[in-house]
Amino acid sequence: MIRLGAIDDDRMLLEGFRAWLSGVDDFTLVACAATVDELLRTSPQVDVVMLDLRLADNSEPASNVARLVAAGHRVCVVSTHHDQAAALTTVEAGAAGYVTKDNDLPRLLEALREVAAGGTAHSRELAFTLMQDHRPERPKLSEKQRTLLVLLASGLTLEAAARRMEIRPGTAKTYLDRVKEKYEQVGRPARTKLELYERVNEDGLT
Amino acid sequence: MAVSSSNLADPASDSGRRRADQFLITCLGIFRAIQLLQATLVTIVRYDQYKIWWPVAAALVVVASWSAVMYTTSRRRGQVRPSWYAADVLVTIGSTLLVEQLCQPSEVQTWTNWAFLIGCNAAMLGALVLPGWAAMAMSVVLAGIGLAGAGAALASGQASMSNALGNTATYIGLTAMTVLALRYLRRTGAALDAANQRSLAAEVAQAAERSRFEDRLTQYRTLHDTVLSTLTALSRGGLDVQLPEVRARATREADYLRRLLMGEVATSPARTLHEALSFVIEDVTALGLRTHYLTDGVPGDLPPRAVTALAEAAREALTNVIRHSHTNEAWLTSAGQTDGEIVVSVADRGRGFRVERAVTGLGLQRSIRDRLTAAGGTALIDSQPGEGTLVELRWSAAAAGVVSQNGAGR
Repeated sequence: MIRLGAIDDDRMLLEGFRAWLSGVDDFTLVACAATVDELLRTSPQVDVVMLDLRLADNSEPASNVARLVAAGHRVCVVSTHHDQAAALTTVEAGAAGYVTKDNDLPRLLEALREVAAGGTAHSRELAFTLMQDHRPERPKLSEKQRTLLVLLASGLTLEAAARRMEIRPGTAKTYLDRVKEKYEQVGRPARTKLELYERVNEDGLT
Repeated sequence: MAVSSSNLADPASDSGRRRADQFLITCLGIFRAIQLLQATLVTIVRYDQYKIWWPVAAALVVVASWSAVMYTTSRRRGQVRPSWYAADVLVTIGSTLLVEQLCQPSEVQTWTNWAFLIGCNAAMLGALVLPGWAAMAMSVVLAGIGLAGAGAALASGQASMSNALGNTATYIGLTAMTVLALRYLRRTGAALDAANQRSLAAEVAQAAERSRFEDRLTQYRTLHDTVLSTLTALSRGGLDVQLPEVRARATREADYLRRLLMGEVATSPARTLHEALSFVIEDVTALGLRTHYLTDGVPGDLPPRAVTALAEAAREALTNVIRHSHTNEAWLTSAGQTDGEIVVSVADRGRGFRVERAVTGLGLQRSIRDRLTAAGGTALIDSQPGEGTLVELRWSAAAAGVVSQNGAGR
């Protein structure tokens, strides 16, 4: 049973999601919140946090992700529409998945399962985001990693992409995990600072 | 405020300064023509007042021909070239000295000495070529030469000094007047030009704003007819969201809003690739295909033939999904790369087909490829039975440019 925490400022959407999730066997919605603060305050026991990209409190998506990761959570970001720049920052901040809400719920659940298992969700939107990273400071990816991203970004399933590249789907997943690691390394300095900040904060509060 | 069409008729002469100069050249030209007419009459009637007649007549012919050429050419050009002005000054000085020497001394300050007025005209013309103070200086010089030429007559008392000074004052006075008049005319001309420019710019801006406003109005109307009415019906409890048709409608309209957020969605003929693809998506959506669309980094100023080739090839690929894939979902991606290449891909997760088998049978493949190669791009169609199809369209300005240079007459 996968324990899910959801952060979304849209109450109606969350209620609908909860209702829908009640019919799914391997998921249970354990915690709901409108902001990261609200969720962290309750220190929930969850396997994966589903975080909406834009929250009503105008918080920075990257810092939201960083704080959740610093608190030990695995994060999958969801957004109503694709936002290239913001999505990139969340990957650097440590998000393991990025899915847009125009996908049907089974696909969203598939991504959440992957993230809960400790892997990187191989959604089309995540691949597209990384493929279109043209910043000069972007991490260097290998030829094979780039090819995989391009195929996934076009909409191919992981299996189809792997077969085209003549590798096993498991190998393709490893490629993706490596890519995510490279991004995490780029984002590490900022995250370490944030972790320190969070710890100081906690000590101050208790 | 309408912009008079005559102002814009000849773009080369739209400078107010040029028109001011042209006007003054015309006036001075007329002035000189009158002087030459007078000179002709005098030379003929008072022929006996010259010591030797024929050089005076010859000088008149030279001055007349030269004036005709210089004034007509300068007027057409709207400016007097400095070299031409220098020539005019020389011709003036030459004819002044000649005529004054050959005049009977008693006639030097009468109309018989027609060179006086030519010299005055030349001094005034200086206002068009020289800065104000230099034109004044030139008028003093020319007046001085006139005085010098009449030196003998003045010395012998047959010409009066006060007359001579009066004539000099006329030179200088008329030149000053010309300088001031030209300054005023040029300033007015420039002000008129500036006003015309502003008016034209305002009209252009207004037209652009109006077309954007109309686009927006049509978008609002579309939103009103679709999203707004759906939400209103929902709020009244009039829509059963369990029904697939209702959810399909909500999906369509959410996708439309997403496209609006990704970039301007036009209502008039598509200019950008995003607009063209949005139209394509709307069309195939009406046929029941759900298209997941992502775009990033595509410039808004691609050449029209590239936009058309990519969009129409994408349309064929998406239609193919409807016809052959046995699914109702497709993924459309359009991405600009840092090297300027544009990649548009259409993928489905349907039945797929054997690419090698379908070489000539599917005219579709040839059609997609031909569209791209005609525009200087490439198309790749890849499929696996049971694994879906991927159509990859590539175009770049660099590659297209190379092809069009040596692809002529293919």
